[in-house]
Amino acid sequence: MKKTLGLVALLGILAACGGDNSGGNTAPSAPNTVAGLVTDIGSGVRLAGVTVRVVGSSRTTTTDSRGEFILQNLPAGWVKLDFEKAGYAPGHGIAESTGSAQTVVVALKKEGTEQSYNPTQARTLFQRTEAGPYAVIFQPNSLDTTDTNLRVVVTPLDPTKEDTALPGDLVAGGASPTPLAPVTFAEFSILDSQNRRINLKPNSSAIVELPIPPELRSRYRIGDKIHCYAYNPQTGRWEDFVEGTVERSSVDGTTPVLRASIRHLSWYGGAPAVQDQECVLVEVSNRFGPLADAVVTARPGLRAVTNRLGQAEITVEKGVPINFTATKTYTDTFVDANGKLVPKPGAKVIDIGRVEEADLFLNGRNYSRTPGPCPSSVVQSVRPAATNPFPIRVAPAPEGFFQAAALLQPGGLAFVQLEKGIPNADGDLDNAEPASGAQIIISDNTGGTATMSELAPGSGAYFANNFTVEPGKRYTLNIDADGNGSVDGSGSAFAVGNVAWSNLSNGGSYSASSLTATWNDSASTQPGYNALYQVSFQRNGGSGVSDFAFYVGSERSFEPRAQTNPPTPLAAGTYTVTLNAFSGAFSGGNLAITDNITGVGMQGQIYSIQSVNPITITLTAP
Amino acid sequence: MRVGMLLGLIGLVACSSPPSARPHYVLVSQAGSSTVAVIDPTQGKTIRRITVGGLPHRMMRSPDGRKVYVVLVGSQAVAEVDVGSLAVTRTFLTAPVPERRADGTLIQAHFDQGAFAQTTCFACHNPGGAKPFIVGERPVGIALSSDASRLFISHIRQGLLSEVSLQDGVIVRSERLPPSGAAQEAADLARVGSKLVVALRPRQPSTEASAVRWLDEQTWQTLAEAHTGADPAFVLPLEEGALVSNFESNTLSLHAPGAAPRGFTVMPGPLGMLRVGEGQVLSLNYYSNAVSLLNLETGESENHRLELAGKTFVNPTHAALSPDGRLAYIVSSGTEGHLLVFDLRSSKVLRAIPIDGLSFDVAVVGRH
Repeated sequence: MKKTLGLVALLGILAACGGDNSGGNTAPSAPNTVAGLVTDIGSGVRLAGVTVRVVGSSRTTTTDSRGEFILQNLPAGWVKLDFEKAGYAPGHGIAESTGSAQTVVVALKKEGTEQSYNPTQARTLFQRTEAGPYAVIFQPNSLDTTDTNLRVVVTPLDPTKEDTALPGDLVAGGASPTPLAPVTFAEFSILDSQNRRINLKPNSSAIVELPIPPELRSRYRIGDKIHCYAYNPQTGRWEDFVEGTVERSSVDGTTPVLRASIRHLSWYGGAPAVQDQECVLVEVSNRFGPLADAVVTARPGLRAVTNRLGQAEITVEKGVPINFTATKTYTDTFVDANGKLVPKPGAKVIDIGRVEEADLFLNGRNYSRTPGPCPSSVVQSVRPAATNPFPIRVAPAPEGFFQAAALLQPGGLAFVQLEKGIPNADGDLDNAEPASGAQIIISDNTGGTATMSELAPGSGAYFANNFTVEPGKRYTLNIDADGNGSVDGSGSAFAVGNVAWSNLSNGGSYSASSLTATWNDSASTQPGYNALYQVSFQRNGGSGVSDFAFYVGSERSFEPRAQTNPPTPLAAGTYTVTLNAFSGAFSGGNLAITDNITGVGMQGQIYSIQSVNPITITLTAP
Repeated sequence: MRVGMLLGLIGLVACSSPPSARPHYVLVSQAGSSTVAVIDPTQGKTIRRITVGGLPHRMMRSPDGRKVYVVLVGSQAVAEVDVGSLAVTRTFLTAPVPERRADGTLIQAHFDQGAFAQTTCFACHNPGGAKPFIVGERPVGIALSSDASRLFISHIRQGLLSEVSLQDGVIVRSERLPPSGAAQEAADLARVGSKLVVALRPRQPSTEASAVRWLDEQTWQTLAEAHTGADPAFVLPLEEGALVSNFESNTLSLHAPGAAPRGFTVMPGPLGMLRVGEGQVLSLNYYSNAVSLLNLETGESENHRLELAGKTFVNPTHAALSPDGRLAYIVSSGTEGHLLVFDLRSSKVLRAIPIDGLSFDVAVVGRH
């Protein structure tokens, strides 16, 4: 199996790299056709056997073994699609049935744990992640059923890591479209004894609490109002706008959550209208050159279609990292061993490119952009050659599967270990082997970029020469795992700042009853920075409950006390004290890893760690 | 008994003949884009977008029809739009620019940037400007004084009630209204004769009761108070009473000082309301994608979904009457926005004009 995968991947690389530059973009792209690719947002793996339904019609299809589908002879206009697979939260997508085939790239999220619920009772149900508890609070008899044996599923979604799993377009559309900036989301499903979906009574509501993701907590504070919406699969739009308020979680009393009322159980979340917009010129190309009629979506941002030069103007939020995704579908076409598009009835080629980019908006590369939203009248106009469009390269998504682990060493190197293999049910790779031939770009979001080189051929280990990771800076990785020219996965994280004790020093002596340990972090004022700190006090030679204190959290102070009820001072004695700081894909009390490199055919983690040298102190009795 | 008399009065006033048809524009507050759209219903399109300030919501015409006052929820101000020139002529702060944040720290930028001389927070807190974009006490409700010389404005954040002189745009008075139980946010207000009616609600979402409070227009002394649903959204002034939409439910409640409130059933999510004829009110039912035509005397209502050519138009918020009284212009405020032309006789949507998503209120003005 490993050999087969290797062969497939090798063929993919050969196919992608071997073509010449003639005639490749003239392949057919059938009108009124929507093709698509469905993946698992957690693992990036292609999902076979997903039921695809055209909303408002009886048409359905199923994804093939490569997670792909195609729907032809659709009526003109916007097509709403529902995606269903056991074990996953409902997925939704939209595409335009138009003069050339369009593509839907949908990522499904594994659903949360089922919880039983008797709707005659008031109850709070929640699903906890590293961001905090995602809760729904029901009033008695508020559900539209007489069944008392219900199952509630809450599926959290953190858009700072998983925005591609959000259904539909996050846009306030109409006469003058405005992007919405995703903050926090979840999907709420209730099933009765017959497995039918249950919703709230028309005249009833529930309260939901959705944690503010750690990266956004400096932007949205307690008391802030955030616009909330429910996704309506029938219209393919986010509707029922109401205001929610950022408050402390009623479940744990500490996590900042967006608290709002909900009237229709579906995908639900907060996303304020983007006020600071700019218009970016992008150019989509594949291995043969610029691509006309490619669809580009930006998050946070809008959607655009490229003109005959492969260019499009697209409105994005200014000053934040943007995820661009471009797609192009050819019908009745096949990619031959030389990478050429050749006719083959019934076959299709889906080109995808995905770039996470923050450099646009700082003082780095000067890509063509103008303040404010793009004027709708010039979206399809042809720009002068002197402009510098932001490039998005597309290519077939990898057939193999890749996993990346990226370490940002503050003051040191950036290092990526890339592997390929077959994902198991947990999303981890079985029979993993190093992945060579990848193109990995690291950028520091202030204009500094570097291409990472493989440390030794066949090692799958990549680093960048002469590229030093600065403490407290955000770094973005764009990974072309199969080396075919298009980015397959991307993610970003802050390098941990310089962390040091504020009030403890090696050899110091402190009162066990009054000590509050504090530390500082040079990056703590950076917007979006949210390090996790791990502190331990261990009495030398001690093993009792009063000899040990432990802290994990985002605060920069801690009262070391024995975990008794109520907490009591630690025993007097000599202690070894450790302090570690984490940033990126480390989270939670047990330091479980959450993926923050996502894409099609790949997943991974980018993170940063700093360990402060252990110190020895003396705690004195009260 | 009192309510019966009130309903009779409503009927008398509503019987007056509708204004004759004349050329007009429809103004729509577009909260997502800081603009008011000027729509020519004849052409069926937006002909101008007037930048007014952050989160424009409620709008109110002056009695002479020459001005429209737009409440800027995100900029702690009201913008005055001149109907003749279709431009903002003035802005008024609805609460003083603060020197300090809620935690007591000094807002140095307000001193450095001369913020205290501004008449709207949008002067600095605008797209591309100072962060955050949405600031202040979040004004929402608006009413005109009996002598048309002052504006009353209610605020969400701390339950402030403000009075602004229209002569010089100065805040004459600003007071935090005493809470009623958990109800402390001044969600809306209206003037009924010489009384102000304020809807005080708890912080949302909530299941606790709100209060409808009657105040003396001059002294702001409390005259009466009654409970209503958890989330009163809009207060529609009537001759001696006020109709309140209970957004969290499917009810409207009719309040009059000293009388027990009377409830009416509509469809879930009532928000805006519009008087449309003899004793009749059009209720815009946000969560039902429908309107209800309510007869206040009988309490009966007809419900009509907002559909045209097989398409449902979602989340109606507010409506305004055409000059001849035959049409209601309804804001469909989903993320895909439309101004719906609704025929009141056939109770059908005749036309859907694209506007910005997340639009809110609507006003009809004469063409000059």
